[in-house]
Amino acid sequence: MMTNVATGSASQSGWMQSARGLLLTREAGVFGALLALCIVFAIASPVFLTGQNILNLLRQISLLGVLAIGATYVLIISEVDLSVGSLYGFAGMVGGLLIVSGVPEVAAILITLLFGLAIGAMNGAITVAGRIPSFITTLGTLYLIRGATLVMSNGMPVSLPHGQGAAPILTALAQGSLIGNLSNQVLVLIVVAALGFFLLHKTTFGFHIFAVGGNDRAARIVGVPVSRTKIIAFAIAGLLASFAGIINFGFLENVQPVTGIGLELDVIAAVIIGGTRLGGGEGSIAGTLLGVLLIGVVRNGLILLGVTPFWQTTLIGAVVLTAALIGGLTSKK
Amino acid sequence: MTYTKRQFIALAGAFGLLASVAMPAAHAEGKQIVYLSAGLDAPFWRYVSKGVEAAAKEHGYDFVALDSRNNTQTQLQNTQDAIVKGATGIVLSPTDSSTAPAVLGLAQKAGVPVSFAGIGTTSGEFVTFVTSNDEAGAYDVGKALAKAFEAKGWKNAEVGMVTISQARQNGVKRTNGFVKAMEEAGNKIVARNEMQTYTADETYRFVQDMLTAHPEMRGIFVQTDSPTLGAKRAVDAMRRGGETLIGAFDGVPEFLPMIEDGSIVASGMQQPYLMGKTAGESVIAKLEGGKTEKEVVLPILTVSKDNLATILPDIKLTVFAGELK
Repeated sequence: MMTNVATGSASQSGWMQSARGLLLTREAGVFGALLALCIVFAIASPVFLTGQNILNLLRQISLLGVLAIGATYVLIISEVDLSVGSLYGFAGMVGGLLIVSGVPEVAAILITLLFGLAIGAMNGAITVAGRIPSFITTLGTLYLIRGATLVMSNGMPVSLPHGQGAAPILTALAQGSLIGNLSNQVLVLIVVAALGFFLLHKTTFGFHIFAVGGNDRAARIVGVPVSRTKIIAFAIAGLLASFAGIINFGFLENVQPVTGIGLELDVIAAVIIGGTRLGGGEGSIAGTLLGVLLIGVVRNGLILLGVTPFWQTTLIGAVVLTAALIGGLTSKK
Repeated sequence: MTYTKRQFIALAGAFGLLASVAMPAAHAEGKQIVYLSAGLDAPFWRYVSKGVEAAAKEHGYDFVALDSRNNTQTQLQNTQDAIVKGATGIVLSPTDSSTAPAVLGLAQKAGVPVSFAGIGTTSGEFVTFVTSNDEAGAYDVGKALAKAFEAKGWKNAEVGMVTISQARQNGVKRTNGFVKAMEEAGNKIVARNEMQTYTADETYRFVQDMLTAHPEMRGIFVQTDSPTLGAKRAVDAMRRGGETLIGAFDGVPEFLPMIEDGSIVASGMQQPYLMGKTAGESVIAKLEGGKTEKEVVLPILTVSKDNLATILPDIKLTVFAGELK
């Protein structure tokens, strides 16, 4: 790994190619599982493959997808961010309270996004400067932010005034559809995924992300700014979590103090299913999107079949385990 | 690990500060009512807490609310802390009925009387259990929904339910009451999902998928308050407003304009503030040698567009704890 990083573009390209080959295999596996599930659900439910249901499904996974793209960066650098679910709820609450209290909508959205960026960067900075495992840092932030959300809301939901057309920009972004019946949230996911793909796979920063995740000591020796790369990765995760949170508020026109509890586990599950290695150094945006889609299909299909939500959780657990096993076996090869 | 004297003092100071924040009004020598809540992040328990507080203050007691955060272990720790810090009486809304006997055991040893608000116990000695008739309340919501179907000329309507945990007695009662009303009116439950996170996001997803699977669904019954807001959004997003009607249970302030414009046909509102106040008063009556009842069943108010204006002054206090603007 150190040699690859140190010996120029030809070796880098070889290393990247072999990594990509491995990921492609894993992505192909996830895609195969997704296809198999879709076939089963299509046979079992006549409405599964209807246009309406596919549009619903895409909207349902879009915000999880936005969160998961941010988490992909963090997991590739061999860290984990447990605070994204709390930040998602916190952002909705901050944005909601600001808008309801009369702060101009655009300013409220920007302030919310800045909070997300700052909290994400803080996660990274504490982890790097304090040499604390990110599991611990973000566990602390999870509680801190959840507590702050409860304090701010006094335990009560916050809603846009009913039927008064408050926050027109946010509600148009979250509820509208620029292209036919396709929710804008799906377009948001596509844009975020495209940017995420470009940043991760086509820029020096993206190369640094893989280098830090593969072997941070080697990366530091060859001049990769390890600390800065880690802080930026966490900041991206924070920014995207807050972005998803404020869109969720615009969509539901409501946020509860409990919004986002446990969401971090769905996010991590989606990223792992998509082939990102918990040990870092491997992962892709396409894989993450497949992981998100797989979770969405399981949930949607089981509800259409009238199966209890407890089975959804069980099945997602089984899929995560299977993905981890496949990942382990593939890595040994 | 070794600490310097300065570090030790700083740590002790931090713990002291934390303790004082957690129990600001605790006076070992004073009279104190402690409310052990299942989870203060739910509006319902916050309103119960306000009711207990009102009873305590009216009778000259200090008041402290502790949050079990839906965690049995935290509930037990809170009980121990409350007793050590001098609780005179306890009002308990346990995380689950089966977890209450452990709290009762500790309180009994310390001679502290306990009343229940909302959720009861499977066994043990207590003063009063203040509850609502969930089954009757859900039945009334079902009747109101069936009446709305009839008014629109819909017969044999398909209906879906988003339920609270069916491991809880109140969940089973709400389901039974509503199903009974639907069956009596010739309507049919075609889909049901049980909440896990109790969020509007989750209920949105449930309702959207249920409406996709059953496009003819005419009604949705959501068994608790804030998640109903997700059901409303799903109905709107599927462009089913006026075609799929919503029945709800309990209430948050957001319900009132929705009931007024018919988005929510009816909600069976328990009276959490009154529940807390009654439980608080019962435990105080026990402490002061007064008369108490083993069980108090409070009526559930079925609030609809027809009676909202009449009933609003009452529910402002008994449901919303006087917090409505």
